[in-house]
Amino acid sequence: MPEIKDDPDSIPNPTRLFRRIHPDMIVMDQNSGQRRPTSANFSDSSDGTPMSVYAENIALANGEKPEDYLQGRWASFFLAAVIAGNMREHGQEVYPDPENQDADEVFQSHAAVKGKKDNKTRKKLGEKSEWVIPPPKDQQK
Amino acid sequence: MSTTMPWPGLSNSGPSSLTDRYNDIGIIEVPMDVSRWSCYRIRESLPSTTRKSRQHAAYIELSPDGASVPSWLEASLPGIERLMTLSAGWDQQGAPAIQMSAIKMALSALIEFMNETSSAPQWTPTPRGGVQLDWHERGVDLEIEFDTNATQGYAVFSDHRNDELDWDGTVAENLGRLKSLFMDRLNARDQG
Repeated sequence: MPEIKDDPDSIPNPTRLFRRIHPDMIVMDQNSGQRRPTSANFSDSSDGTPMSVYAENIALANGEKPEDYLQGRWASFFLAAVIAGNMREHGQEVYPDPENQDADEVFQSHAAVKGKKDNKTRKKLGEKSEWVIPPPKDQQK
Repeated sequence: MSTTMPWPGLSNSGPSSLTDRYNDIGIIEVPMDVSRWSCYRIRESLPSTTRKSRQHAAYIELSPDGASVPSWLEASLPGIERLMTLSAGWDQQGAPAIQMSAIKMALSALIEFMNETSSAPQWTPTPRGGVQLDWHERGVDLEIEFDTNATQGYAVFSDHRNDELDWDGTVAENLGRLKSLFMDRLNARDQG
């Protein structure tokens, strides 16, 4: 099977890539006065597969909404986004990957971010992230 | 930010413990006289009297032998306790439980470069069962990851005032930088 490559035609650089954020993987950034996802959120999966995201352009075309990604077992999570172009600036390949999802959830916008993610890269990606569905104010320190 | 959070039982007069459900045991002995940081050590054994059940088999015991617990250490306890409650699969994607070895590695490193007035870290889990410590304050960002597959922490530092001062590398090779950083900038003593 041919290796999947970066696909800026399907996911252009300005596209927001949604990433689920575990509630324990958020820190207070006193420099900005806001909470933010830790850099560890921007890692590949623990099974070694590339980092999973949802591409906003494909989501819009398929009627998916950000809150759809936080249903069921993901209900306690929050949602952040990094621009596809930022991922590519840090050596990542971004491409649609609708086939590699758990059977209990299928989103056409599912995409992969493939590439080496060392500590420095993860930190940069974390700094570039923005909240889409943030933790409520009363959970913020 | 509040740097001190109460932990029941933590006092200057004797050991305190964190417990969770895992059968993994460690004791952290922390000398409270900062001039004797080098006396710090970790014991792997556990007094039989504290081995009551598997539900409460994992704990870290802080055995202060001196005058006071540094505020950063006391402030760290709730975060460590939270990490110890995360069971396998906590991230819904098959992440292992947070390993005691990673927590101990992190505490060992902190003792090496923190002083008694250092700013407390924020403790968070990593998907591979390790821990990450974050400081984002006073115009600097510092992250140190303690991965279960590594023998020591890996730090990434950035300075908002001058990105030429940014660096990354292992804790051991940057010990001097870390000591200076916590003495000069990441220090609760100077925070209003």
